[in-house]
Amino acid sequence: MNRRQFLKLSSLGLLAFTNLNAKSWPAPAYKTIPSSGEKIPVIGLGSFVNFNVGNDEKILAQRTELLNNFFNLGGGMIDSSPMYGSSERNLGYCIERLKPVDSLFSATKVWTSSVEDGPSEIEDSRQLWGVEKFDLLQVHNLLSWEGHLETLFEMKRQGRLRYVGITTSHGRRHSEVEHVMKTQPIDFVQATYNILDREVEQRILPLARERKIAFIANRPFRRASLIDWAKQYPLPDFASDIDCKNWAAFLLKFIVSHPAVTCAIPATSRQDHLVENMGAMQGVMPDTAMRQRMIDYVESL
Amino acid sequence: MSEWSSYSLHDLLIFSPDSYFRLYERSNLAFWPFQLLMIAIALLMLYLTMVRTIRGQLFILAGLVLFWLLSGWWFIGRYYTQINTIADWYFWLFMIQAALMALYAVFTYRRTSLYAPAGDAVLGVGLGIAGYSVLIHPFLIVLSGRNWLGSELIAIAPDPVAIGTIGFVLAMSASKSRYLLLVIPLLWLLVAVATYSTF
Repeated sequence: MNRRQFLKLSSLGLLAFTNLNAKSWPAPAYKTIPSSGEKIPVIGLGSFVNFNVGNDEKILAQRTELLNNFFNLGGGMIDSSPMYGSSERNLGYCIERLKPVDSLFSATKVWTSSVEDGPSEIEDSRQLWGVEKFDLLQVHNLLSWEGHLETLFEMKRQGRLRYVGITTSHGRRHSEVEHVMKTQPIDFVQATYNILDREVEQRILPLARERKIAFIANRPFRRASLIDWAKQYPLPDFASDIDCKNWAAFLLKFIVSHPAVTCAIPATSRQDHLVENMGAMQGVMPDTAMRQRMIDYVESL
Repeated sequence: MSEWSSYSLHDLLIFSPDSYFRLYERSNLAFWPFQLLMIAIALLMLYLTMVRTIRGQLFILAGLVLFWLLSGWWFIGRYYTQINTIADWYFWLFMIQAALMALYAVFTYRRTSLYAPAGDAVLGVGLGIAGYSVLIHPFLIVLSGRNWLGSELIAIAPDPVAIGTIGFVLAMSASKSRYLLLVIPLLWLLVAVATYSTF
C-alpha cells in the first residue's frame, strides 16, 4: 500500500475493514478490452436497486461516500440502465459531488422498444449522469437490438461514444446473443456469470475470446441470494492460497479469473461489502485447477 | 411471453425494502403535523360508523375520498413514483377510486333505508377491519422493527387506506352496489402483498 492509498483508506475509516498491512496491497487487477487494448479494473459496480433511492438526500450522501470509496479502492466501471428507476439520476448526483473522477468508466443501456426513441433516451441518460459522453452503451436485454445497434455504431463513428455492447441476464436468449456476437462488431457483451450459473462458459465466453469482445459478468451474487447462502458455510482452507478472506472475494475472483471475463459488476449499498468486493482485485488470482477446486467446494455445500 | 414468465416478482422489483420504507419516513416528516387532523377524522369516521346516520355516512364517504386523494397524491405521486416506474399507474388507480367514492356519495345521499340491521355480522366485520386500519396497523409496522417515523397511518399510507375502505364500506350500508367500491382496494392489497412477498 502506498502512502496515498494509506491516507485515503485511513480517512475513510476503511483500514478496519481491509485488515491489510503495508506489504499486502499489491496493484489492483486490470483486464484488457480486446477491441481497444484499454485496461479497466476487473471489479465494477452495479446500480440496480442500490441507487434507486429516489430524492432521498440522507441516503444519497451515503451513496456519494460509497462511490468515493469505490474509486479510491481502484474501481472504474459503473453500470446502470434507464430501467433502474432513479439510479441514473442518483449516479449523476453522486458523481457531480465527486468530480473530477478520472477513473470513471460510465456504462449504461438503451432500453426502449422504439428505435426512434433511442437517441432521446440516451441523451436523457447522458444528462442524468452528467457526463460528456458515455464510455459504453449497451442494448438492454437485446430489446430492439438491430435498430439500436445502428444508432450506437453511428454514435461511436461520430466520436460520441467509445464502446458498444449488448446485455442479457438470467441465462436468457443466449442463442440470440451468440448471433449478435458473430455478426455485429460489438465491443462488449454482458451476461450472467457466477460460480453456480456457468452456462456462458459453453459458448459465449469462448466466442467472446474468439471475436475479441469484452465480457461483463452480471448477477455475480445472484442479486444477494448466492452470497447470503454461501455465508452459512466456512470458506475452504485453500481460500487463503488465493488471498480470499471472505466469500465476496472468493466468488468474485472465481468470475474475473476466467480468461474471457473482463469485469464483474456486483451491486452494493454497504461500505463493508464494497470493501470486500474490491478485495477481489488484490492478491493471487486462481488458475484453472484452482477454479475447479472452487466449483467443487461450492457445489459440495 | 415465455421470457416474461421466466422472471420472478423479485427480479422485477427495482427497489429495496429499505428504500421503500424510507419513503414512509420522509413523507411522514414532510406531512407533519397534519397527521393529527387525519387521525381525528378517522376516529370520527369510526364513531359515525357505530352511530349510523345518513349524514354520518356522507361524512365517512367524504373522508374516504379525502384519504384516497391524499395517499394517491402525497405518498404515491410525490414519493413512490421516485423509486417505482409503474407507480404513475397506481396514482391514477387512487384517483379513480376517489372519484368512484364521490359518485357513490352523490347517488346514495337522501336514501334513508340502506343500513344493515344493527346486529348484522357484516357490520361487525366491517367495523373491525376499519378499526384495525386506524388503530392497529400503524403500530404493527413499528413492532416489525421498522423506524417508528415510518408508521403507516391511514390517510397517507396506501395500505391502511385500502384496508380501512374495505371496513368502512362493508359497515356503511346494506346496499349491494357498495361492493363495487371494494374492487380497487382489493386490487391494491394484492399489489401490496406481491410487493411484500419479494422483500
